[in-house]
Amino acid sequence: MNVEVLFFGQLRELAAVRQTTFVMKDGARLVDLIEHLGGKYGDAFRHEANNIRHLQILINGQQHTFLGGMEAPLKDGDTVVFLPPIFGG
Amino acid sequence: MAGYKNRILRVNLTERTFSEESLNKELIHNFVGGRGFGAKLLYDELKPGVDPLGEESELIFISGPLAGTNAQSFGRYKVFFKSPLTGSYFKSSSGGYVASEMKFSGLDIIVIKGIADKPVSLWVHDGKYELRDATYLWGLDCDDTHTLIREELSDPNIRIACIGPAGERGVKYAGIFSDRRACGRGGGGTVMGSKKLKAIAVRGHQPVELADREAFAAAVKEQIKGYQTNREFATFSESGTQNSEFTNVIGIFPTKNFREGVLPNWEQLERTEYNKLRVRKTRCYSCMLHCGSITKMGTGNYAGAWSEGPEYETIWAFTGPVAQADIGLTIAADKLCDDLGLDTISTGNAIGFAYELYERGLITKKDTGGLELTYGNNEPVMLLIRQIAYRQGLGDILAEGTREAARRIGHGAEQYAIQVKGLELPAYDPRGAKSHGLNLLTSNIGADHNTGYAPQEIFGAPVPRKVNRFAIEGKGELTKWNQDLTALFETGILCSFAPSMDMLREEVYGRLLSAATGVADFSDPAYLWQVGERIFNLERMFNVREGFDIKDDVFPKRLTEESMPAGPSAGQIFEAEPLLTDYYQVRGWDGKTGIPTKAKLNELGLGFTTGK
Repeated sequence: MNVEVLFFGQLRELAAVRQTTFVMKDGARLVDLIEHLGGKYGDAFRHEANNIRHLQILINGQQHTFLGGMEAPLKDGDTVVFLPPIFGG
Repeated sequence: MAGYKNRILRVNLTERTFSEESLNKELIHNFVGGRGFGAKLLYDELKPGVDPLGEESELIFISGPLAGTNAQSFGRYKVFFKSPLTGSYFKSSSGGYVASEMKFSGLDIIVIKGIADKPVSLWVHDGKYELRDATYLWGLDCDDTHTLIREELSDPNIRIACIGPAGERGVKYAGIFSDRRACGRGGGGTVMGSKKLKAIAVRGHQPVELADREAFAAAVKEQIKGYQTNREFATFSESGTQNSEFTNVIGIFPTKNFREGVLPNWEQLERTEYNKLRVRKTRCYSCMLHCGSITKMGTGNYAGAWSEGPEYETIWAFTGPVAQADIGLTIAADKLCDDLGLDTISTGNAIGFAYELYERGLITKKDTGGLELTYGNNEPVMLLIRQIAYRQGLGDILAEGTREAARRIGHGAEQYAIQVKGLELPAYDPRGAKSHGLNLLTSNIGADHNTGYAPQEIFGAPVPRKVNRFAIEGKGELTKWNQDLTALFETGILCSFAPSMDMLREEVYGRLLSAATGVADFSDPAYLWQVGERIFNLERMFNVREGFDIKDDVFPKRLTEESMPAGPSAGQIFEAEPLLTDYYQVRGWDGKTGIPTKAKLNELGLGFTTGK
């Protein structure tokens, strides 16, 4: 299945890409995607993804916290956003 | 009492008289300062039903007890008035340097009443004051007004709060501008213009006394540590609110007059794009966040355009409503609104309203003077801004605000005016963020996001708890929490970014207040929370006295009946009835009228508002 991923802030700098598509196995969970990203973009990415305070991980616009957290299931066509805190007024 | 200057200056423009009075201790203890003082003064001094633009109305400028000290992010001032746009209580605030300069010149509060017989400016300097002829300034834009006043008084460091042509011409959402920062919302500039007061200029050199210098220094040190150890500090310092991604990725960036929640090509308005255009940083008095930016276009249709900003709301105001992401226009339109003295939120919302009416045939080229108001065509925007400010062509009716403009246009136009209590909605679609929406619905000044911003829904903030933005359960309590906390911090007129990023909590704020003023109760967060709730309820009672009740806590049908058509908030509506029922119950208000109960008012020490 295909999962669209958008990066913002320092994660975009580490991934060196704004938006990309990953092919994942059916039944993949969010934790699998993050592991995949860590493998592709390296330890610095993995470290940041696990340590950015208040990092929002959105699956189709929903906070992953309310979709099962790291165990949240992914499906074909999902969009996953990694958004470090930024603010509007 | 330390912290405060203990002085209110009253200016009667009709009589051309001045008087002074001291702050009384009961006012200080019960309302602390800032928004608390403003709410109490407006309630006490404005007669019910007063014409906001008449002789008896007041325009009240207030600086906070921590302004002018080295505590961080207290450089904002607030203006209070009855709004000509909403008919309600109103508060509006601005960063910059006016608040600290008011303190240095010996004042906490300036109350303006009456109407001058010709344009004047008020010059306040080190405890002295005078009205000066401003006939030669009338008609000038805000930037030029600043320049000429500083030349006239031979001091480049004078701080100024002024209006532009929009305020002079009675545009209902004209703001008050200070070095390109604005008390933008609600028509404070309209009230100022009706009084023929072009500007207030302030300069002073008096120190702000502190009750306990040692304890204050320790509290400031603690505050600064809270900033420096916050991981969001660096990002926010760099970019401020210059972005559009955080709302587009959750599908609440209002597009086509709140019909959609994702702007096509919004990636052109991302933080990284504005970072490329930044040429200088700016800051407010004693604020290490320095979140402001001077941004300049180097190429394209708007080459050479620059502004201080644009902030997030302005980025939305000139893109979402016309469904066109053009970064150059956001900068050019921002500067034009600053110069002409317009609130960018209401201006952009009004333009989006006009586009929808045009699409639906409720207005035609005959009304627009030949302008083609079709989505994706943003060419008319700059001209429409000018027409609104100068009340020309279609701008004359849009200058009344969308609610009144819709009433005059008729033929069902009312349903396309996206406002609450007459105040146009800002850059958040409430269907995808229920507490954020509930605040827009119940704010005492109409649809204002800063009265009870819900960072829990918008940024995933975990304090007091993480919430599902689509859920309705518990949102009454959360909305009250955000609104009362905001009121608490606005007693000191703290910039809202510090608490929303969890850089400053009420415990340290209380220590700052207590050390500055010597009032022991201020160090108790529980006491401050009660003051916050007291302020919010007093504002509500001002509105109740003006005839507001449950019928005014209402969104246009689009938001409660039309589900979001697509994007990350697809399928959502705003469930007003259960959300409001929950909110009134949590507030201790009557569920049938939306009015605070006597028991609640007595509990908060507001028994005087019940008429007994």
